Amino acid sequence: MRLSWIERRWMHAIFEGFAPPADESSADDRVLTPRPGEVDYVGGFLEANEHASPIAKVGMRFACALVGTSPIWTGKAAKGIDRLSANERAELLDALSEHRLGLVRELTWLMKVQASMTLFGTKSIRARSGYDRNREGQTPVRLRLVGSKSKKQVA
Amino acid sequence: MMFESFRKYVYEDQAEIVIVGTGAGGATAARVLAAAGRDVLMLEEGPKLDNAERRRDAIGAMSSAMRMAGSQTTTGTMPIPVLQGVCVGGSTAINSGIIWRMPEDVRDEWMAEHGLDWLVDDAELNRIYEVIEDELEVESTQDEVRGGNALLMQKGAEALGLPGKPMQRNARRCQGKGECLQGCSGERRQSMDVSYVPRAIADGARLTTGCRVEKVWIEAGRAVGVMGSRIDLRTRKPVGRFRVRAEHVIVSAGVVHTPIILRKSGLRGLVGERFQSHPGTAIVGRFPEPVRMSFGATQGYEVPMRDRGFKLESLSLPPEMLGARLPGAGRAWQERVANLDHFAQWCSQVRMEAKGRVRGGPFGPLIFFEPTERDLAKVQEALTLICRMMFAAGAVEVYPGIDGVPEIIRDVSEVDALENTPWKRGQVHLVASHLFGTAVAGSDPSRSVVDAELQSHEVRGLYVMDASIFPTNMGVNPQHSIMAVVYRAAEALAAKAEARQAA
Repeated sequence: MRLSWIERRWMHAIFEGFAPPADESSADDRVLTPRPGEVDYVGGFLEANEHASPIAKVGMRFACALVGTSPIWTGKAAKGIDRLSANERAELLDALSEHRLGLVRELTWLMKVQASMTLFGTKSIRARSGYDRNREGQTPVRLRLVGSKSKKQVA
Repeated sequence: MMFESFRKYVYEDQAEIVIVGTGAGGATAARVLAAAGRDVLMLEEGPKLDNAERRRDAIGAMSSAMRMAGSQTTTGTMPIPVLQGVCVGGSTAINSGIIWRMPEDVRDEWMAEHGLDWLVDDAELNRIYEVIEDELEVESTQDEVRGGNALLMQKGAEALGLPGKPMQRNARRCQGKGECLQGCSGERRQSMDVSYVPRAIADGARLTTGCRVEKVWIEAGRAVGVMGSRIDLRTRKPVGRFRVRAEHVIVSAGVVHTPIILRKSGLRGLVGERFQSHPGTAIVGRFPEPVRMSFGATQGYEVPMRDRGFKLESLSLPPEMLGARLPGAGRAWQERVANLDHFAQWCSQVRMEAKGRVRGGPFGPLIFFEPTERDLAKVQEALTLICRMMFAAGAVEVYPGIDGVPEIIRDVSEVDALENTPWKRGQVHLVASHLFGTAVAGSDPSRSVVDAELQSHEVRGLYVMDASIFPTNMGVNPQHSIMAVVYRAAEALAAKAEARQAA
């Protein structure tokens, strides 16, 4: 799947907008903040869509165009979403996820799913999410039986 | 057919019995037929994935093992993603290994309404269930690996007096790694790729991957093989044609692709009709204490409510999918996703009365399916019950994920409003993984596609052995029932093949 220059810009801006990045100096421990460039959103999108259905591919492109141009058609600013600051993008995405039109809400959610897939698919981000916190040591040692009478031995 | 002879085949083979697909149906047929000494060739479109090497991230797992990377959906006013495995083991390689015997009322209906007395004979099914449960190491999910998500669900169910229980799964000595979707790296879950497929191979069966079967080769009203496209397993693009000759053809390509193969082969009638499903969705709750969804069986506890038309299940998902279910964008979302160990997720599987149809389309399968108003009412009842269970278990916030209702509920009194306002079509995001019908079995050829022994009424030597043959859905997880009826039909086919050879 090939993306145009503007699609790449919009996709990165949209996905990044859900979790705006911050430098380490301004990072807040209470929130999960990616460092600039830490997450390859466009790469994640391309990988996820490589084997997706043709309809899904069209849907993602349409969602990208709709959300990418949303500053204009919402009357927020006469520019694409890639020209907004990170915090402006987050505010806009939050508003779009509660938009009165169901289509807008659905396509914004589709973008959020993709953003989440790439964000937490990044090992360093997953490590900071708390998802695996205190997991070490919980896995019990439960050995499989070898040579159970019901199990046929296979190569 | 005449054009076939002009084509160059990159792969040609022959076998006594060719089986299309290696999921619960195809692998079970292979296991029975190979053990009976038949010459079996299994054809699988997807790759054989090494469970220890499978990618653990959701994008990698879905791209490598799921059809269309999980993006296949139904067609209708509320598109429903339809999840199916496309790898050796089929959907058993991506499911949670939940084992349920066919409920009695379903068996009774199949006998009374569809003439399937032989197929679901009580004594025979019980014999087969015991064999399968022994071979696939079925046991109740043990306390030490149930995990926080399932234990909290148990707490919620017990507080409300609901009939919950630990799940029966084919995963004895599960280590609670919570990676059923991505492939059990410890190979505790006995999906077909690590159980019946290797067992059939040990008994002499062969397996060829990268074969997308497109039609059954039929001559003089009898199936004599299959043909299709050879697939590059990395790109999933066709690289040439193939054909396999066989005396018997078993199509086990799943509820969506089996009817497409049959229709391309010229079969009509009810082929592709009576598609049914158990769509469901999930609710997420935030708890003050750590839940630690990352540890424990992916699904370990369930609340069967068949009399109400649904079943509730604990469902631990990877962080990629959990994160997408949490409300907000920007700082509010970032605060929530910084503590992903505090969330629990439980889902519903709804036995829907709606019937759809499957057809081939220019860009892939078309699955026409439209839940009825009664189906939506069942979804609403199931989800509001989950909300109540969440609060009963101690949740401080519940995220219904229902379009048009508050994103966050902080008190059980708010659930009443959720329950008393009828939901509109499209408000709920459903997902379907339990699929049924499209080549239904029955004794009456005018009302079915295959007979009680799962042989086509129209084409001799052609069998369908997967959930396509189910004349109804069931309200419980279907893997065990698929395996049991296929086991029974495969035993009959083995006896027939033996007799044919002797003659």
